[in-house]
Amino acid sequence: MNEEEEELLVRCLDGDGGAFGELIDRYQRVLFNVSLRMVGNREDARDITQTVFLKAYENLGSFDRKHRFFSWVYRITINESLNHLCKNRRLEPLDESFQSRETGPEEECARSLLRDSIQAALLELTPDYRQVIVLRHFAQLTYQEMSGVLEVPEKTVKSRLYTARQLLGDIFSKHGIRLS
Amino acid sequence: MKDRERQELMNDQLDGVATPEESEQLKQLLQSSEGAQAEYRKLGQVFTALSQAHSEEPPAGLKQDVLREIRLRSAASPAREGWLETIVSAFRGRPAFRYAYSFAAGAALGVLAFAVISGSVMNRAGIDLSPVTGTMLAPSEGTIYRRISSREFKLREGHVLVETLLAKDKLLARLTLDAPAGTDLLLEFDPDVWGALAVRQETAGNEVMLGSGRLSVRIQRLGQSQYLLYLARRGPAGSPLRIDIHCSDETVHGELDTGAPRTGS
Repeated sequence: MNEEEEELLVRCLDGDGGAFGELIDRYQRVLFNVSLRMVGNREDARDITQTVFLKAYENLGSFDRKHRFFSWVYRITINESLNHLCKNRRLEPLDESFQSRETGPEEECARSLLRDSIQAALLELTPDYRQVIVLRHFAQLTYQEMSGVLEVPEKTVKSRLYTARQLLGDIFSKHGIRLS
Repeated sequence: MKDRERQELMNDQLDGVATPEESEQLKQLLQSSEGAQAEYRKLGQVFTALSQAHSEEPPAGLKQDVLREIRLRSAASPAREGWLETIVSAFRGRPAFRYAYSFAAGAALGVLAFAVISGSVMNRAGIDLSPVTGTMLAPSEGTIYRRISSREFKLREGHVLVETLLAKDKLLARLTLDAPAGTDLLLEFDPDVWGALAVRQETAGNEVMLGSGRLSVRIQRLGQSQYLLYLARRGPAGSPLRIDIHCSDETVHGELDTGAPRTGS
């Protein structure tokens, strides 16, 4: 853990609400995006991110500072997202989601369609594969950091990541998503 | 070349973690195999697609909502749970103490049993509302507080006692209320000078809100109640604590010293 973050944690443990606010500033964007890519819905992602911060705050006292703070909050985020997915087994049929959005000629609409298509493709992956894609491509974690967050060996991380990308490629081909 | 090796080469190259030797190896592979070229193109499209799905802005107000929820939870925590939790988390946070945890719990039970048998435990009916005389020990911190000011606000149907106590860089505001239901008390402090650490309530049932620079209490139940607001100093100067009490058509204002030099003085 870097010194600045260590100092923020000490201040939090001393009851300084401002210090926790600084941690929220640091992590809210990336944690929101991780949960958004995991669950595919802004409202749910917002609730998950809020829960993650509250859990982190309530358990700061038990956080082992030998470990990295960000690994810890990422792990909470992934677990909360997975819990959410288990509780709400409501998967949108992929074909429908692609077809329903294929309207509108403008460029913005096309970009939006692409974003939606990518999100829909991500949701077609199983959570195990989705989480490695999300941590690598949306949270920009290294293999080593992902290994820490997911508590699996680096070799497993890489293997899952390769398979996940291959599966995504197949999904893109199946739905005719072409990228320049 | 094995499938796994080929897959690793391609992924590492696109991921930007391939060594120059690996890049060269991949280059040769692509030159010699059309199948590998197709596979590499397909994988490249995945990377391109993912890089085009930009990160989204978190919803406005997320941070404020989290901080508000934390304040609400802190304000709603009963006093005894609060200090007990503090002690428990202190043990949790220090692995070396974990082994001492059960010993400490056992010892505490032993002391309690001895105290009960020997009759030295105070028989407290309800809560301890005795006035602070000079010093008091904060329940969770072992800090010695020195009383620096005290003011009693008389209402037509009750009264409110507000005291401020100081310990180095910490301030404790103690509110003892004996006022009818519907009474609103607002205590304001300078948030640039004081940060709220905790609120302890000895009586549940009233509405307590802690915000930035303010603590508000709305009396909803009959009887005496007491609140302890712990503040930590953030800055050197500041204004006194301001108190506003509204009860029916009656409004009372007042200020209390915090021991900090006044702003601008």
